[in-house]
Amino acid sequence: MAQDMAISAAEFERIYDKPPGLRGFFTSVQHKAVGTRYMITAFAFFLIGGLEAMLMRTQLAKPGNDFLSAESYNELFTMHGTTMMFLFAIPFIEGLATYLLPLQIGARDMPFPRYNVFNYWCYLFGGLLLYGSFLVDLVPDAGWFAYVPLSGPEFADKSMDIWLFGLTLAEIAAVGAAIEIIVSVLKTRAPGMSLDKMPIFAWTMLSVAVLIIVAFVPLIVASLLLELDRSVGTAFFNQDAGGDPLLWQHLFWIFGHPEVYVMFLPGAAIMSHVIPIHARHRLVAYPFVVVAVIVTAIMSLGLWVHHMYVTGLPPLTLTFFTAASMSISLASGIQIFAWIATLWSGRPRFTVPMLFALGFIITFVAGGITGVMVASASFDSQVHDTYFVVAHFHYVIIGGLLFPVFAALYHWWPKFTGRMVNDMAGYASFALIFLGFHLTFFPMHLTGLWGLPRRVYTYDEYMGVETVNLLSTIGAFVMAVGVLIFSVALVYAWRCGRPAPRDPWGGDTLEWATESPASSSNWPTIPVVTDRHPLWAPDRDTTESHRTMRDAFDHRPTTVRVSPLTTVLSASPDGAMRLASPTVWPLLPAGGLIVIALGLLLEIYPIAFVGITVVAIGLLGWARKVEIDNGEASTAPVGGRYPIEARGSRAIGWWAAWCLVAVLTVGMATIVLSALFLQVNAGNWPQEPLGAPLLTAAGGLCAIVGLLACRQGSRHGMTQHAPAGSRRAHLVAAGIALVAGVVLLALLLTIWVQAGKDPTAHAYDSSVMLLLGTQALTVLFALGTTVAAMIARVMQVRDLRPALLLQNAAIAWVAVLIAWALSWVATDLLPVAVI
Amino acid sequence: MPTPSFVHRPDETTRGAWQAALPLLIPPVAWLASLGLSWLLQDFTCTASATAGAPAPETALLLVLMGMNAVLLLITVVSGFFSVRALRAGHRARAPLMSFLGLSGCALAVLFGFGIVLIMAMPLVLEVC
Repeated sequence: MAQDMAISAAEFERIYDKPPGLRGFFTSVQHKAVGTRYMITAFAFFLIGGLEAMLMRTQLAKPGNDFLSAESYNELFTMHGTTMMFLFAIPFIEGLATYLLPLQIGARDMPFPRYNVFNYWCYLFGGLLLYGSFLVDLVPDAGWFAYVPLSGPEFADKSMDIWLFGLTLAEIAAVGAAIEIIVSVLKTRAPGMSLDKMPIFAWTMLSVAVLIIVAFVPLIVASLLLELDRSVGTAFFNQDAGGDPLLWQHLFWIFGHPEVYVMFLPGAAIMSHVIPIHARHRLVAYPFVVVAVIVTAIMSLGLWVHHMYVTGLPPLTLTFFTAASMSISLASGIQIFAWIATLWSGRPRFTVPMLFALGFIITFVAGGITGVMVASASFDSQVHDTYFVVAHFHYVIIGGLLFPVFAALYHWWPKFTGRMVNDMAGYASFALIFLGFHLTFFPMHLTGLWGLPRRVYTYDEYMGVETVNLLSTIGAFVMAVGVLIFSVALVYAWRCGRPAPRDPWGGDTLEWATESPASSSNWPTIPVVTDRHPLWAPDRDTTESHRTMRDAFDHRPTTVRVSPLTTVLSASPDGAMRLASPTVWPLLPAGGLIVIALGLLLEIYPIAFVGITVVAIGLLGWARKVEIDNGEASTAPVGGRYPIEARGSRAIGWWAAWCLVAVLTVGMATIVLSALFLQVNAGNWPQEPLGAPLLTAAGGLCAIVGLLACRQGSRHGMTQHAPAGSRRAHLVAAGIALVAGVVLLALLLTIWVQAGKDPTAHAYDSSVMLLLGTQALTVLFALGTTVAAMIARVMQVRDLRPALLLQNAAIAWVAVLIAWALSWVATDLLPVAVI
Repeated sequence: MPTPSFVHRPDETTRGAWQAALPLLIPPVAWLASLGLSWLLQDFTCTASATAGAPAPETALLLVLMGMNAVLLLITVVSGFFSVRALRAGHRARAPLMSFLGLSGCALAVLFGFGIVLIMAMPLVLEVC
């Protein structure tokens, strides 16, 4: 075959090069390009968010100051929090992971490069929409937490709708990136990189990605509920009609608390790389650090109520969450001790990344201690909504994320740009940032304990907090100068810094084996891993199967982008994945989403329909492009033995499909639990089922038919990379599933019309509308996957690819079945079963 | 006892993969179930009773909470036991992956088991509703 003929290294790299110029900007999908964009965009938002903080600190420098009006101050603290949490912290970490993971785990790219860039566009458009609010003088001002009823239709104007749409776009991007990371870490590791040899950063990003799927979806649901209350007039948060404002707090903090760990855990992972390298010693207690990461990630899901200690929940409820909050400190402690032991055992070099690492340990431990204090319900009730809490979470977030990010930038900048950053600028910026930070935030503990409430634009002289506030403001400016020096040093190094060698720090993980910066393909020769610290360990004998895979992929294939796949636990050779080439198609659906948002915001609905059309065209064009790229020649097994198309858990599509089912299930479960929460809190919840048993049962039947049809169809032609006469079976299966989906949509509409519910009258009616609507959305998702399988069937001669897409469609139909069952529980079972 | 091939390459078969991965998954799921169900049962039952003006079934609720958490703790302990076995098998066969999975499973069982005990103890200290 043509692709097995040897080519030069330069010719091989050209396959992975991104297109030049403006075309490259809109079409590049390679992980390094996407990761760089994420990080640059997020850092720009960080600087804007920092500027907002400076304006607030200027206002608070003296009592009774009129530098800002109360309204401007509210807008600034809302946008500062929103920017730092949603537009800087998470996207930056995802950008870092997007750039770094393939280099660290020995892959040529992430598994779904086009989906990756689609997520970036969603994030960018979401951020631009949020900041577009300044242009139309409708800046959100209800806080980054947007508590109802302050953010509801009664008290907030259109600015809140902008906040909700912008945020939802950014969240869609975050969930998409999480799916990308999960599949990447589980399936694309270099041969030999079994779970016990995986870098801590990869372990952490895997845990964080799972956390994002479980925790971020409730926020998307909460945003949907609030937007429905605001634009349609539903009653989810209207206490007079069976709703409850406290539901927002539950949903927001189910997201909000894990969010803190989504930021801290990657920061800790950066430390687990920076400290060993700059201390020249292996990370002590690696297995326990992995355990600590998993425990922290899971336990963070069960802490949200400690943000709600003063909302009047029963004392026993509070103690469950106090117990959980105390437990998580054990896991964080394990990591801290591991880093200290590594420093103790090694020969530390006080480089700039190391200084930021030490700054992180000092600051985060202090923040962790105040965290244990506020985890106690009795203490928290005293300091709730005071500056003590502001001090605590800035110690945790700046200490736990920003210091590690600065360490990471200095540490990996040579790998990103091929240039070294000036050390003196690094030392100066560290000194200013560290001192400035503590001068800013330590006094806030005192202002809080002395009774200064947070989120107020000014204070009176008699409170006696003017000196500590002035100190905070001075500290903020010192810190800002440090950040400015840091940023200038990075840009200067990028343009004029001295060239960086391959491994300037003497690193241990795979990324340091690549060129600085890594070549377009990352790994012309796939690495084989035999140790947890591959660059520090002597070469050991590799197994026959690993060597065979390395040889098969050595500067091969020569016509298309391909990377190896390995098994989840032991990273044994398992196949290959075809990597997507540059295209503009992912930009279209993302652009369509922002057009829909604008149409709805402006209440010019034809614009929203244009947006829907753009999304549909974009998705269809994208699917068609995928099929054109996945012709028979470009999907032939690599080296004759590593299949690009394989069934079941050997396929990356299988993993992504199940991740999407998890996303939809979490979303549906959130809605059902929300309905249950409202039911037990409302005195006037209907005690009768929806009353359409036959139609509901028929809906379930349709879901089963769709599932069985796709499953049956996928069994035809699943075994070989050649036509086997399964065309008719595939078309019939997809056709049946499509009919089942359309009938199910019609049934859902009929149930809604027959029920005669008014979603504005009562929260039960609102819940019914949302449950049926979400079911319809799940059906549309399943129909989309079925249509993709049909397109593949029409365009491909061979049977294997359509069979695989039908397999993915069958998984999507599982989501429909789950959604149907959960919806039935909420609309028909719970009203009867719960008093 | 696991076969040597399973110990060195647990994901050679689907069954082996599950057998190796489950001790990592069970303790976190058990802890999440303990916290989530304890909160759901206690808070929702007490609130629903108060909303309906009915007496809360405190004794029954206490028994359910204790029983449920005891079962979840037992599941975690059993998972830890299997992890100890995997750890020993890994050491014997000089299989670093299996040793790592076994050690991680043990540590997860201890930490999440401790978390379940803390949650379980709370209804004994405070009134259920």
